[in-house]
Amino acid sequence: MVNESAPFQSPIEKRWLHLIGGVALTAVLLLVGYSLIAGPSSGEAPSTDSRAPGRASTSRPPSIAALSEPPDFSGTISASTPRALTIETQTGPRVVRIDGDTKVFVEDGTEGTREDLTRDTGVAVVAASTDGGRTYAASEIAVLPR
Amino acid sequence: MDRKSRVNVEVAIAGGVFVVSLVVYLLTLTPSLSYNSIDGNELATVPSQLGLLHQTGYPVYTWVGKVFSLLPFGDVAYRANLLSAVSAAGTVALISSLVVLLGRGSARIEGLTTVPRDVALYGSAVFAALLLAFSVTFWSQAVIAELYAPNTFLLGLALILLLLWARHEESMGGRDATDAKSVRLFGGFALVYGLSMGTHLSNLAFAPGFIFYILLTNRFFLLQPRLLAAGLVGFGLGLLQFVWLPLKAGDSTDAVSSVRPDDLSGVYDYTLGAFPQFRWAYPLSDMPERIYFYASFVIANFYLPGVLLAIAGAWAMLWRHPKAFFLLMGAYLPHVVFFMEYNVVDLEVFFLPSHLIVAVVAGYGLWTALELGLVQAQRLPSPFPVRSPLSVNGEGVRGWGLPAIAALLILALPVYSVVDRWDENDESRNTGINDFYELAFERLPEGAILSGGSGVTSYDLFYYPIVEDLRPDIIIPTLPGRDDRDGTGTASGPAYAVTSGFLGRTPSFAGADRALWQVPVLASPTVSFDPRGGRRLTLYRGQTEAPQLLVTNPSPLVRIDEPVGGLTLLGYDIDAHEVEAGGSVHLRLYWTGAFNNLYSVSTQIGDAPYFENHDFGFGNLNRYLTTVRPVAPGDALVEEYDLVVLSSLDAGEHRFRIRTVSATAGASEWLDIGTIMVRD
Repeated sequence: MVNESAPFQSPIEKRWLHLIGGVALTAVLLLVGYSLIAGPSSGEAPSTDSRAPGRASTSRPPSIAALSEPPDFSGTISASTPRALTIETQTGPRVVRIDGDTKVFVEDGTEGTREDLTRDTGVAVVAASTDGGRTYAASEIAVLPR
Repeated sequence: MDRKSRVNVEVAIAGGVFVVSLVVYLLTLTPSLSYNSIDGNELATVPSQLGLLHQTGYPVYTWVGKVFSLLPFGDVAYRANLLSAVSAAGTVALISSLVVLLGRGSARIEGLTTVPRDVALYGSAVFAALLLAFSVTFWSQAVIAELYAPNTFLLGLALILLLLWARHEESMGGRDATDAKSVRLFGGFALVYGLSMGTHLSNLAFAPGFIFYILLTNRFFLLQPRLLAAGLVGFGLGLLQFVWLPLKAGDSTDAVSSVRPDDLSGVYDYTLGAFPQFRWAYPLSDMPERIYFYASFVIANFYLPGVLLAIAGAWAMLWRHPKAFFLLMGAYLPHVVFFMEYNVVDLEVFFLPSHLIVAVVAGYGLWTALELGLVQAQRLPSPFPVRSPLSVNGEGVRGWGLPAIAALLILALPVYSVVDRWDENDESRNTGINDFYELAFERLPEGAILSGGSGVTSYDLFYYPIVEDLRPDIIIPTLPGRDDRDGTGTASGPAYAVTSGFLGRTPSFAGADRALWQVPVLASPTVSFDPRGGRRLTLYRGQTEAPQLLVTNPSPLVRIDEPVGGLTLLGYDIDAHEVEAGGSVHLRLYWTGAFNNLYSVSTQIGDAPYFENHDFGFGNLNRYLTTVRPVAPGDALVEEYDLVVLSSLDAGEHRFRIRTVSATAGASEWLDIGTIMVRD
């Protein structure tokens, strides 16, 4: 069906190109397919707006009270890596870098660990930016009551 | 169709998609400054002064931006937005030419005559061009001042020149065929590719694809000194633009970076060594998740049918034009992998060069599908007794059904995208920043010290003194070029501050007692419903005495007494129910409930997709409750400030509504609390 009219590659060269390209493309598509199946369970990022307004709390959560200063912003963790969190806030996503010095306070106000900062968790963050707001370095993170 | 006619048709198609996309971009163009990009306002400001942009410097963008800043209409920020629109439309035109060039270089499917083959190819070229034109991310960058549209234009041009060179090489037949035209085309490609480093250095990731393609086109390339020299000289000339960096090192306005490109090591740190904290941020185990996020971006831009066409197109290209497959995949994969490992908030825009390739490959996929469909169609009986312009093998009669289906396939997705994404990308009413600063600079007292942030995110403020030369009597300690960034060396004028940074953070007052109370003066609807866009914009006055934050048993002029999230809006005072567009209304909101600093308050006038947002109590709440007095029975919290009314609102009556957002409970429903009559 296909008439070979494009010059330059010999049939042998073309066969090799088809083979290498086909293997590469198949590998990429398999990897994407696997990621699409594996990804959604950990990748969904519901916004803060998805929470029911009727669940408003008027008291100050203990974790917030444990912060040494008022939080700079709050939101929901939409992505998490060992070194950074992406937090969906009301005015857009923020990337927050975390390190060994970052203090984490859980719902009851006691100190938690990095493992408490899982996806979909609501957090309030005390942070400073060193690059004009592209990323923030968190000094304290309070886990908000669900 | 002879060669000349074909060229005419192809130019007409490129011109047609250029005009269509440019019209849409102009209809949705941001009128001036915006918060839709972190550094967009810097990009609207610095080129007009021929200054030095943040890392990686972007000399070519600076120079082209300067040319556009000289246009005789709109303000300078509008002209910078126009640069994006024109270069985005230019990219769209180049995409159509790319698809045609790739089609012409592909192996033919037997059984089709030239006319239906050409029609299918031209239709697919239109499809690919418009698919990219109205994809959500590309469109969003075409209506604001940003680097990405000029960058895709240069990359598209480099790809075209490379394909033209290869076509010429092939037509000459091999090793000894290199002639002056070949040298010119290859040198042109190398020059444009080098220049494109001045719109984004990440274009280097396209190099593996280019190298594959060059060697597959001419395996003796490295043995041909003329070609090699043309490539090196062209690319080197393109890179010469970076001499601009040391020349302008003293002008660096990027306060977030301590790097100064004033020597070779500084130039390296400012360019190739820039942003190490963003790169390779994710471990290998995160790759499935990163791929998932990337796939989500692609589907959001091209929808599932577009992505499926791109996958089909990749296979078809591998079969019909393997060299082009290696060119595009060799450019696409390194680029995508690099940015999947990049950790910034505005990640989606970094994928635009790879989106360009996805659109081209999707067009290729549609072309192959159309050709296969046309071949099959000649075996079917005609559904309609009408002659079709798409005659197959000269037989002619196949009805209008097939071309109708083809036209539907070609136009359905781009048209759907325009309708689906219009509201999201329509920035034509985004006037909140300009309205705010016009009023703010008008109202600031003589000799005021206006504190703000520094660095690329503060050019919403810097634009006015730098470009518009507005109110030179106002001292802005963080203004690029000033040495006393903390304001300690300035005169003791009245202290004011404006929110700054990506978050719109509450400021501190430079050079003054940091314990000043921050009294809100003016706030603007600059936060967008689009999660990408917007941030707070509020002007504060610093004063030593505490504002009256709590009042007992107030009687607001407009009584509401309705819950708004966890708070209750008792009512509000307003100085006028009728206001000129671009003016402001004076508000006093009265709140009851359990007060804490976990709330923010949003107000909105009219149906423009922007609202004003501030922390409950404008950042004074905790301090007031602990140092002035606690809440007593019957107390209401008062928020008093001027609210900007967007100049983009049409004359007429507009709803006025309010909501709160709690850190623990999310956003409340909007509550309609009245109407405001807006005059022209």
